[in-house]
Order: sequence, then C-alpha cells, then structure tokens
Amino acid sequence: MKTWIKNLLYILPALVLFSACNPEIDVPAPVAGSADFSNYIAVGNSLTAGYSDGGLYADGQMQSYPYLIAQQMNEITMSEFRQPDIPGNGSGYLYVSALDLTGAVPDVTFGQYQADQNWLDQLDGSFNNLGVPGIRVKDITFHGYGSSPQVNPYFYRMLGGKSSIMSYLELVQESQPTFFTSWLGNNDVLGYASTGGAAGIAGAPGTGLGGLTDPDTEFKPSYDALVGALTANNAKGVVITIPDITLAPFFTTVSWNDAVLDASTAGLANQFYAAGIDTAVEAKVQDAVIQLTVTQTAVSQSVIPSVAQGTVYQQAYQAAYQQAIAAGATPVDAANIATATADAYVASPEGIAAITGLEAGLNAELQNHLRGIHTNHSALEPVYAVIDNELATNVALQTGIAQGINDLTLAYENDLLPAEQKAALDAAISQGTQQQIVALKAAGIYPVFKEGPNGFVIYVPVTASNPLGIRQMVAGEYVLLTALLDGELDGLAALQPKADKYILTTDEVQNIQEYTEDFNNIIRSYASSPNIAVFESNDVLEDVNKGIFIDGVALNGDFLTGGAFSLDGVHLTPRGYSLVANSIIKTINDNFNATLSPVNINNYRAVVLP
Amino acid sequence: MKKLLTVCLLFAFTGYTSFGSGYQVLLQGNRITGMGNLGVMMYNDASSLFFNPGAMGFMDHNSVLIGGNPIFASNTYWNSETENSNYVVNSDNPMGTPFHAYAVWGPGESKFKFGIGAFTPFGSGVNWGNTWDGRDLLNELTLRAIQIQPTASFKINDKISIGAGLDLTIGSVKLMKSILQDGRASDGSYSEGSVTLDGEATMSYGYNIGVFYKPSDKLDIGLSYRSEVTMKLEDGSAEFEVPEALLPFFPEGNTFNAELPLPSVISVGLGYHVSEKLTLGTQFDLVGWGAYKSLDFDFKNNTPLLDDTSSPRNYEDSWVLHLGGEYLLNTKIQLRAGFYYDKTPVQDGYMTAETPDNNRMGFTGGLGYSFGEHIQLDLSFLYIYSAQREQTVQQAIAAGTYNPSEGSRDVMPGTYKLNALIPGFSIAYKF
Repeated sequence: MKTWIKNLLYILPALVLFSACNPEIDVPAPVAGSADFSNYIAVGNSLTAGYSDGGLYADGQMQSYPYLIAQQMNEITMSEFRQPDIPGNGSGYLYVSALDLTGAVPDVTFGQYQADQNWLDQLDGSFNNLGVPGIRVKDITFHGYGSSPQVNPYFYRMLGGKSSIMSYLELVQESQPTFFTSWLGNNDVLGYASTGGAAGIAGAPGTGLGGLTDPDTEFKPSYDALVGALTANNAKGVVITIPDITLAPFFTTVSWNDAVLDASTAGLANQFYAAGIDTAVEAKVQDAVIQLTVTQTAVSQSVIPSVAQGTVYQQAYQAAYQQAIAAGATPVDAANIATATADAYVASPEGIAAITGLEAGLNAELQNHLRGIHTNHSALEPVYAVIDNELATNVALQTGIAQGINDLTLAYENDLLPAEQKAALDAAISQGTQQQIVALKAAGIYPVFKEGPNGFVIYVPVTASNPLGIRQMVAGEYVLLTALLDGELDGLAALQPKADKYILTTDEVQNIQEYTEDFNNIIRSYASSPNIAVFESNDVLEDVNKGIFIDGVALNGDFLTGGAFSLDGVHLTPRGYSLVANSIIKTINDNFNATLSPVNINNYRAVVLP
Repeated sequence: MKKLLTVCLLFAFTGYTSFGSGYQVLLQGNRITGMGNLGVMMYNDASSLFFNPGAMGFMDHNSVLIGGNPIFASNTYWNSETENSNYVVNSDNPMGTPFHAYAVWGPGESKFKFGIGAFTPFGSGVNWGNTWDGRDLLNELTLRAIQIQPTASFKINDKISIGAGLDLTIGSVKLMKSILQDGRASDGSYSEGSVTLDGEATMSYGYNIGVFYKPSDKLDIGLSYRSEVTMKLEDGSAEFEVPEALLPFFPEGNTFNAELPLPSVISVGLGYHVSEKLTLGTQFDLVGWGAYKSLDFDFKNNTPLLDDTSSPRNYEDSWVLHLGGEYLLNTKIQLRAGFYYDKTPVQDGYMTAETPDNNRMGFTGGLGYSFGEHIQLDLSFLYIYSAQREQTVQQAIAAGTYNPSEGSRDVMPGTYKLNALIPGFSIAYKF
C-alpha cells in the first residue's frame, strides 16, 4: 500500500483522539478578585465544624461548608485546608435504623452510632476550620474552655501541644487568616431555645448550653475582639448572621395544634380531663358555696338586724341633732333631744318599718356582696362596710362561721341535711361548678378537644387566674422535636400535659427573636468595613422552608425527608451545608469581585435511609 | 500517542452514539459516507438497497457487501446557567458499532433485482456516568434499532427504475439513571439509588420505496421514501435499586412499556458526471422528526412514588443537505469527499441529556480500492462538528421541561457540545 495511505491510517486515530475525546467549551476560569484565599480560616460553632445528625463524625466533617468553600478556592489558590480530623464515628451520631413509609405517618426508629474510642485524642498543629460545636460568643475569651473534654471536648481536641488554658480567641489570633468566615452566635440563643427556655436567661461563660447571652455586656465585647483578631492583618472575610432558629425542624416538625383527634378520641380526652378537673372544680365550688351559705346565714341572722337597727337609729339621731342645732340648741341639749327622738323613732311603726326595710335591702344583696359581685347598691356601701368590718374583727362571729362551715360540710357530705336544703345546696354547687368550668374553658385553661387539630396541653405555674396549672397551647408557640423523640407524642400520651422543656411559649419565642435580632444587629454593624461582607443566613433558611429546587434536588424544611436538615433537626445535612457554601460563595463573589464556582448541590447527600 | 489511543478506546467500547441528528445514524455504506452521505442518486452499489431501492435496478452486477463504522464521539456539558459555575463534564460514550450488510442479486439479464439488507438506521449511545450533575436524568442510554429489508427493484427501461422494500424492525433501549436518595448498606456506607430500564422492541414494520431516473449519461436523479416505524417496547424490565425503606414503592419485577418513533425520511438527489472520472452530486433529505412528541414510560405497577412518566420532546421536522463527489484516480483507486449540513430537530428548551443535539456539519473523505474485478474495499472517515449550544433556564421553563417552582426537570439547562470522528469500511464481493 502506498505510504500516504499508511499515513492516513495513523492520522485518523489521531484525529479521533483530538476531536472525539474532548469537545472543548470555553469556560471562564475563576478568579479571586480583591480577596486572598491563601489562608482561609473558618470561625464558628457546630455548623462550621460540619456537625450533623447529633454528632461530629468524619463523613460529616469532610462535607463541612468551609471545606466545600476551600475546595472551590483551591481552583484559584492551591493551599491546604486543614480540619481537626475526627476519626470514624467521631462523637457518635444518630442514624435511621428503621423506617416504614407505608402508613399515613412515617414510622421512624433511630439508632445511635457509638463514639470512636479515639475521638478525644488531641491534635497538634494549626487548623483552618476552627468550628467548635457548642461554643458561644460569650465563651471565646474563657481561659480553660479547652482545658478538658468535660468543658468542651471539641475545643480540647484542637489544643494538642498548646496551653490548656488557651482561649478560643487566642487560637483565632494565632491563625493569621488572609480570608475568613465567621458564623458564631447561634448557641447564644440555641441553648435557651433547645431546652424550651427551661434554663432561664442566665448562663455563665464556659458552662455549656443554657441561658441567653446579654447582647451589650457579653456579646458585643467578645464579637468585637473576635473581628479584631480576624482582621489584624487586613484580612477580608464574611461575617454571618444568626438564622431564626425557630425555622429549623427541631421547632417546626410538631405544630402547637398537632394533637389531631377523631371524634371519639376527642370525646375520651375530654372525659379524661373532665374526670380530673370537674371534681377538683366541684370540690372548690362546694367549699365556696358552703362558706357562702353559712356566712350569709350568720350575717343575716346575727349581724344585719343589729346593724340595720343601728343604722336607722343613727340616721334618726343625726337628723334630729342637726335640726336642734339649727334651731339654736346647745350641743348637749341637741344630743339629748336627738337621743330621745331616735329612741322614739326606732320604737315607732315608721322606725320599725325602716329597719325592716333596710334589713331586707341588705339581705337582698348580701350574697352578691359576699361573692364580691358589686351590683347596684352603692347607697348601701357604707352599711356593707360595717358588715365587712364585723366579719373581719368579730372573733365570735368568725368562730361561729367556721363552726357552721364545718357542721354544714359534714352534714352535706354525710347526707344529713333536710331534702330541701340539700337540693338548694346541690343546685348552687352545680350551677357554680358549671360557671367555673365555662370560665376556665373560655380562658384556654381547661383543655377542650374537638375532632381535628387541637392544641397540646402544657404545664404552667399555678396562679390565681390559673388554679389548674395547665393550659392548652396557642398559635405562635412551638413543640420541640425532643417531645417527639422522647415518645411524649405517642398515642394517648400526646394528650398528657407537657413539661416546659418541650415547649417554647410565646414569651420564650419573643425572647429568642429579640435576642437574635440584637446579636444580628451587632454582627451587621461590621458591614460598614470595606473588608467585611455580611451574609444573612436566614435568607437561606427561609428559602429552604418555602421549598426550593436546585439541580434536580428538592429541598424543604421537613424533618427526615426535606433534604437540608439532619436527624437532630437543627444541624444540616451535607446537602444543606453545600447550599450554605454556595450562598457564602455568592456573598464572596458579590463583595470581593471574585468568581468562585459554586459546588453541585446534588454531590452532597441528604439523610441516609435504611 | 498509542497509549492515549488505548485509553480512548477503553473509555468507549460498546454500543452506539448517534451521529445523525436526533438518534438517526447515517452510516449505511462507506462509499456513500465518503461522499458526504450522498446516497439517493448513487447507483451500482449494494447500499442502494438502503438509500434508494429504485437505484438497485441499475446495478450491473450482483453483490454481497458488509461494512461497519466504529464511532468515537463525545459530549461535553458546561453548567453555564449557574452563575460563575465552571462545572464541566465530558461523557464517556461507548464506541458505537453500526453495521450494514447487503446481498443483491438479479437473475441473468432480468430487469429485476432482489436483495436483502440488514442495517442500523437509528441508534444512540451516551454515557454521562453516575456522578455527573444530571445523573437524575440520565447516566447512560443505549438505543439500537436494526432493520432487515427484503427488497425488489424493477428497471422499467434504460432511464428509470423503481424499487421497494419491507423493513422488519427490531431494537432495544437501555436507560440508566440515578435516584438522588442515599441508602445505607449493612457496613454503614451509603450510596445512591438507581433505575435501569431495559426493553426489547417487538417486531414492527415499515417500508422503503424509491425511484431512480437517468435522463442522460450525465445526469442521475433519485427519489426515495423511508416510512416511519414506531418501535414498541413491551414488558421491558424496570429495576430499581433503592434504600430498603423505599422498596415498598419500587416493587421488584416491575415492567414498563414505551414507544419510540423512528422517523420517516424523504430524499431527493441529483448526480452529475462532470467527466468520466469526476462525479458530483447533491441531496436533500426531509426527516419526519415531528413524530417524536414525547418519551413516555408506562409502568405496570404504579406506586405513590412511581408514576408513569411523560417527558416532552416536541422535535420538529428537520432536513439534511449533502454535497459530495467521487474522483476516479485510476482503475483501482477512487477518491471521495463531501460535506453535509444536518439541521437539528431539537428545539430550544427540549435538549435532553440523551440527545444534546445541535446543528451538525459533517466533513467526509473516502477511498475506494478495487482488488481486481470482484473485490471492492471502501474506506471512509467522517468528522462531525457541532457548535456548542446553550440552553437557558428560561428556554427550558418556556418549553415546560424545567419547572423550578414545582421541582421537575426533563432537561439540564446549560451548554452542550458534541463532536465525533467515525472511520468506516465496507467490503463488497461482486459477481
């Protein structure tokens, strides 16, 4: 064969290689803009560390958002991004051990991977990912925060070969970033929120979760120091605000009114609460009715006649006295005249009629008066004041009433009363009980269940207006995921009153939101620096909660199936973290003229199913 | 260089890549391929059985011809629709192996010619792998259609000949994609789910008719029509690899039905013998891609998580324009060259990962060698160039193939590019 044919046989495969293996598309290369990514330091808490499923473990750590961002920075500036590598299962973490999706409601069973036996080993050297699970802004200046695994095991791990009383701030100062991200502050509200506010507001540095950090005296000075340390060498970076934690599935999975009942269960629940509450209310009403009856009788029999007579006498006396003085009599004479006139008056038919009339008037309003119900008897107020004074000071009267209450209670409860009197008491007790129940129900204190969704019942402090110490939840309040995980919502247990630690009440929610806003305003104040960009993390969380769709992947805020949140309901899945990484990358690009490429969301997993 | 070649071959070994527009495969004879795929007005080649049964009547010999074309093709995708993304992926397409075989025979001086041919007019093979960003849409697709065509041609007189064939069509489709939900294995590791749809088509029938007209010694005119055939996949296997918790929704032994149209082609062509040595020609094809409205999978067992699917394609009819020629260097060697322009049937917004198609330009060259009277060898090469094509999010939304608010997508917005190089050979025994 001729040589050019032979040559052709070589040329053809060569063309194959150049043409068919790689069609070239001209893709712009990413640039750093005004940023310097040669030493990227990520400051933060569990979210920064890559904490997921209730633990920090190797697989989660390798998909932390700072690590993902660092990979993209590596396309521009190659440099090692060192994390405090945690072995295997790390601190241990949750997994779904069984899941039945065939029923109306998913039936989930969780398992716990045991911690790696070496996870608490200290690591030497410096790190780029300084995410420390659990750390609050108020903890960063605390010397001894990493002194032992008992204080903060994650910070302890980072201090290999370093002073055990090194503070987090000092570690940040050592890191000398050229670029940084900072996402701290979540735990300054999360501890309070995730325990239903049960720990109260207080919580000293280094004491772990619980309490709220004071914005002015604790948060701001520490945050100022932190940003000062990060920007000491004119580094650029992103500070990240705290999202509204109540958007996480830890708070949204169970709604305040998720006690969804059919008609018959609602009836049973009502019977259950009625059995306890009605008896208690009735006992209280019985006591009150008997006390009222006895007091009314005693006052009517032994106080009102004398008070009525005295009142009529006084009125006659005063009238005669004033008349005599007006006619020119001396006070002594006038007194004598008045005494005689009053004596005569009370013995006269008119006087007796006046006394009887007053007695009747007083008796008519007596019950209302004793029950504190003030109707239209203002003219008689001074007279009732005399009666009240008697009741308050007349020991014999008090003793008599006490004895009377005792006697009547015994007689009533042992069924020794004449039929008519018993019937009257029964009627009064029954009516009083019903009135009380209606009032408690109207106030949301006495639980009422109906077919469909119902507010859960929670324990609250006993007060004068809430004698039962329970109430039904209202819109705007949150049931924590821990209630679900602790079995508090299983079957009929769901109808039992819930402890405070499972609940965020309206007041607590308000606290969380106010403190979060205060902290965020401090964080946002750094936006005035040209070197610092602010990333509003809540925007991402809100997008997720609305439900978004990226690259073939649907993400929403649902627990277990939503894709973004891990099994602890607060921390993210790798897929959720990749979303955060992309949002931060966008912030970096927008603020520093960089063109970092985003990561592919669907390269990162959601919750792993069994 | 040799090592690199091996790597390339390893990455591309079985199945097919489409290289006509859509999933049409225009490789049915390497004499023809070398001339820019001018076929309808060519004669005296056994491949007329495919290109124009009418021209078969003008064959002055009997012939058995076989040939094939290894296809080296690659697709590239760039996620240009995501701001600042430099995500690029190349497909590792299997090497396509379309073939053709013809036997044409006429009794003595009869005006009849009879023939039978087997060829692969449609097919596609693309493998994006199971880690790329669009793996929920497609990992890998292998589509094959094979037609067997008994044919008869009748030469009415010295100027005109007609012919017709019956196309017995079989084929298969295998499609794999990922399910973006990780499941845990017993050792604690996790991996994504996947689905494999694998079905054989039942026999379906079409026809191929043509007329060849030679008004003068200088001029050849051909006209042919190949009918549309619908490939029907019945009871194909639908295998799902999913986490155990999802198994109730993806029962084992599920099957699917689907249909895929193989579009009609009308071709008209003109050949002109400039001299005894040089022939030039042109051809125009109209391809009835408008028949491809949607790709529907009808599963036997539907569950709350497994609906039947319907993915819009809305191809439009397309056309191909060919130019080419053949030069007889001497009695043994024929040189050929050609060009064709192949308009894509895929409209904006409907460009899928299976056929990330664009208008294509084919540059061809060929060499024929006659080993004496009986043996003819034809070599060809074809280089296909396709400019990169951007499919925007807005186009996909407008087409209804991408719905960011409802969370569905049939296509990946982004920029695609394809090229291919296809050598080929045919060898004929004439008698």
